[in-house]
Amino acid sequence: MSDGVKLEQMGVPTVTVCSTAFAGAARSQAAGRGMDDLPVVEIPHPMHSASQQAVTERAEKAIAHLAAALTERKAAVASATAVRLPEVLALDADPTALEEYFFDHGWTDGLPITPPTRAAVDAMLAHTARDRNETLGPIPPRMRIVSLEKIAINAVMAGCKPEYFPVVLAAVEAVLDENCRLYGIQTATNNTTPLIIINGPAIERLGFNAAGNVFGAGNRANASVGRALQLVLRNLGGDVPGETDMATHGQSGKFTFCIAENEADSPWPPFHVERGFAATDSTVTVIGASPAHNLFTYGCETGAEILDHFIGGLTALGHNNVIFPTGPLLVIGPEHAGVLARDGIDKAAIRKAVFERARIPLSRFAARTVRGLHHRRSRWFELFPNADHIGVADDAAHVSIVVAGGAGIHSQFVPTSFSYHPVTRVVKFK
Amino acid sequence: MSTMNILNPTIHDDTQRIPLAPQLAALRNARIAFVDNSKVNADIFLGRVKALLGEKYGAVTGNTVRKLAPKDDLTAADLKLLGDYDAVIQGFGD
Repeated sequence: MSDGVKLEQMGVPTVTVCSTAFAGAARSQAAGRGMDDLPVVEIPHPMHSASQQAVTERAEKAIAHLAAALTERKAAVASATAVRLPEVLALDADPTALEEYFFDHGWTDGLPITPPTRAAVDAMLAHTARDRNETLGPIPPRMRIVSLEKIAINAVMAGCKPEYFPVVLAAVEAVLDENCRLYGIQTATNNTTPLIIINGPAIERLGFNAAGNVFGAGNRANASVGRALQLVLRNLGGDVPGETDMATHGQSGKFTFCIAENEADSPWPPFHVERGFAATDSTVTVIGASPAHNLFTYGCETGAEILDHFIGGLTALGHNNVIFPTGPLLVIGPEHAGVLARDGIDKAAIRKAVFERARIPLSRFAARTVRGLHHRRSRWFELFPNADHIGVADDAAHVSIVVAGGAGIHSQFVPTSFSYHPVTRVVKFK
Repeated sequence: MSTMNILNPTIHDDTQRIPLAPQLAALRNARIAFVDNSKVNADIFLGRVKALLGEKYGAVTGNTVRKLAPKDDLTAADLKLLGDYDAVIQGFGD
């Protein structure tokens, strides 16, 4: 829809073809860019699995509508605008009534929130030296420009302590980086959502969990910082399930998806140091990610055996790093990291092994998928013109490795997508 | 009923409306380009549309720009190429 708006602004009338399941979302995205009347011609859903004959017939049925959209443009009718609510709402102070108001207006993720009073929001903003009226954005898919105050309001709602706010700000700025590809993440049918990875002194300073249950529940910093970002994306970016967020299944990371690296128990340099930051920098890294897939190395004694299991977990069909060139993320448990390091296998060796060995024979895919891979993973086929296989990364350096978790013989393969690469921002404490 | 003052967590959409480009006077002899977002079957769909625009409407059909990935923006070079046409048909969202 972004392209359609740009072309129209250039004076080129443009028609977008969209299946019925996504036409509403398409129109909402166009409205966010100022063109709620951008022509959309609807075709039956689904198209992906339709036969060639059906696709051709649908083109024949659509042609008259396409022609009309270019030659019979109606004068724009002002669409009904939502009621403008005041910036300060005087609500029934009864806790239940207050929560129901937020639920009724679609301002939560399905869970209760902490009421964003002026005092609570001011306390949040007191932890940044930046002006509350400073703006960030545009936040897709509705492309809104938002003030730091609005971000602080959502951070309060998420249950953040005020001292977490610099981390929340860094996370918002990171996802807005062009390389995170937030628009794609937020509007896809894929289950991708930004994963936040914390490094540096902020972990201990703010009490982030990097150990047992690092992806799970129970830690306020992990839970609320991840939730704050998601509420920002919903309430300020306008990414609403069924309206603009068209994920087929979604994932629980859309409640919260925030981990810290277990730098204390890692035998290797931290993730942010590898990415060029000082160990003393507190950083936030974001990347489009799916839920983690467990890598359970039952019976493995050596680093080589553990690595074999990692490679095996990466060579299934259907995960996002087959289609997307982002490069997979491995979250390695400390016990695995210890055995790998003991046996002389460091992060560089793991990356090399993943690049060289995590390859799937093209014979395992249908012909149409192979044609699609040649297009979507064109860089791979430039590197290996006669390849009869597809790897999960175009370069060993694209494999991201973080050590996190507690006791146990488990690591996590986190499929990544949309983002060109991880995006890191320094957390600026006041 | 006692009340509590709460700050609004949302933003009112004040997006300024941008007018559409003027419609084509006719499709006959109009130069039309296409954008294939690389979704499966988009090439087949647009290919048939292209043929029909020529056969039934007398349009002059031109380039098809094929994106590497559906969510990628058109490049500056793509926009420059498409800007030389009278109209564009892009597809598809699926």
